[in-house]
Amino acid sequence: MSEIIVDVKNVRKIFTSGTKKERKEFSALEAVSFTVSKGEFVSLLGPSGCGKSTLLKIISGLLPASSGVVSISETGTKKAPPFGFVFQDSVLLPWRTAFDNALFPFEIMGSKEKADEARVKELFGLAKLNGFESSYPRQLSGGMKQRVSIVRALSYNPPILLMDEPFGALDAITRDNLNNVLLEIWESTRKTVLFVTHSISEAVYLSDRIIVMGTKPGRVIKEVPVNLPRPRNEDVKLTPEFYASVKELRELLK
Amino acid sequence: MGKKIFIVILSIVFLFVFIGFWKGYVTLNNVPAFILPPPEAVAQSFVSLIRDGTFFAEGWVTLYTIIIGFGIGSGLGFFAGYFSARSRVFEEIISPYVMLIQATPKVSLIPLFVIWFGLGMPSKLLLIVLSAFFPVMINTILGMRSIPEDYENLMTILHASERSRVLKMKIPMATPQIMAGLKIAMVQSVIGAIVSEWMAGDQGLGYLLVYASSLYDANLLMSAILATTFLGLILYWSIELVEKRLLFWHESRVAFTEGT
Ligand SMILES: Nc1ncnc2c1ncn2[C@@H]1O[C@H](COP(=O)(O)OP(=O)(O)OP(=O)(O)O)[C@@H](O)[C@H]1O
Ligand SMILES: [Mg+2]
Repeated sequence: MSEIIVDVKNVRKIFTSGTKKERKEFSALEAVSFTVSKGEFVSLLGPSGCGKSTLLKIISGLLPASSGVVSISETGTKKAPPFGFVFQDSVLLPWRTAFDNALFPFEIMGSKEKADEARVKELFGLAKLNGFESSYPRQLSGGMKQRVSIVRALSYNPPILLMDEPFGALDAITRDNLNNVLLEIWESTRKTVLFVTHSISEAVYLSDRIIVMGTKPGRVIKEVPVNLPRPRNEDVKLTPEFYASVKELRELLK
Repeated sequence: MGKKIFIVILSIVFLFVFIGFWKGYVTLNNVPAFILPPPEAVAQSFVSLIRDGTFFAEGWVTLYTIIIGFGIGSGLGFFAGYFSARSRVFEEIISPYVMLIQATPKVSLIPLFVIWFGLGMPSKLLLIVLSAFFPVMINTILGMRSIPEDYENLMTILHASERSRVLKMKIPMATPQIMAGLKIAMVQSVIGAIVSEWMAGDQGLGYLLVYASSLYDANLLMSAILATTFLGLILYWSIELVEKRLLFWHESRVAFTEGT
């Protein structure tokens, strides 16, 4: 369990804005370093504006870093990208059914095999979406749409799953449900997950390790391992170990 | 369902009440027929103009002028909008000209077109093309610009080619706005066609209007107005039909199909 898949070294991000004469520089990330190992579930936890989304975008190649290096040791297959990305909103295509949305990546990659469709069917089951294959996004609840979005991100079997506050827009009950769905999917796929959240209890419940970030400038404050046994279920939230972790993190974020 | 029937019955009743008032007004006040003919005379003239093929001949000229002009104008408008949305530089280069032409009432250009191209097709087409161009261009820009950033990010994550990014995401995402632009463009095209036939035409329904007016033939005039209305309605409905098919997934449609 120690093969490093994501290696972030000294990543800085400076946003420049304003006119040529009056250049404003804003340091969003300051010397951020950490690693993620194969099969590990790691959360990035921090207050709003500490650069979590920026960091995830740099790791996935959506944004260039101002300096520093991100190395990804898994390259994915010929055409399939190494990342699955789940956004805060589901980002589904409204003219496609749930199932066709989940198959959308194959259409972009231009190759789909029998096994792919079978895997998507299986993921639909894991995400408890059976029976909703031919529903359109507007016919689904927010939680269901987000589950379709997770299935889509995993459809092409990427080694790494990046999630940017995927449940941030959902109500507390739906959120707890989706945490359990995500844990189940993770148990059976064992993807390497990098999960952004600003919910302390969500981070503790899901993660093997939590990278705590601070703001102004965005930086890593501390890495906190979570030693709760797996597989986890709701009962774990009532244990003193869970409370201890939550308490420690709350202190760090003060 | 009962509500629908009620609405249909009510609008038919309204039509008859309207015709009744018209008839009553004309007979009670002894209005001369060359100013306002009674409804049955207009109906008669309308039917006979259909029978002798006048409406089909003139209507066809107007129709295909509209279709060609609308096609060219909205096609160009779409590409101009697409490239403006993609490139700020392109938008900044063309935007002053766009504003200038847009601020000019298109109708005022017809006399100029007549000097350049004479009466007939080219002048008419040019006006319709100009009328259809802007609504489509502006709405295409709007549609492309209002795509949430994460859709772009999704396509980047999936290593989408520029081609599939545009065809499979951008254009469908922008379709609600593009369709709204096409609807306005269609209305503008019909107006453009009638006005240009009126001023620069030697054929078509617009020409028939001036012709009837110059003869003081109120029957012919009112029948021709009716025919123009029908033409406009048919064109508008066909574009709504296309919209309904393309946008079955969109909220504006959902309300209609699920609300009744
Ligand atoms: N394109 C940009 N240009 C300038 N500044 C930016 C840009 N993107 C982000 N920032 C700034 O960088 C900082 C970090 O933003 P980021 O979105 O990564 O925060 P976050 O931790 O994801 O916050 P949240 O929890 O609210 O999503 C913010 O202060 C933001 O204003
Ligand atoms: Mg964020």
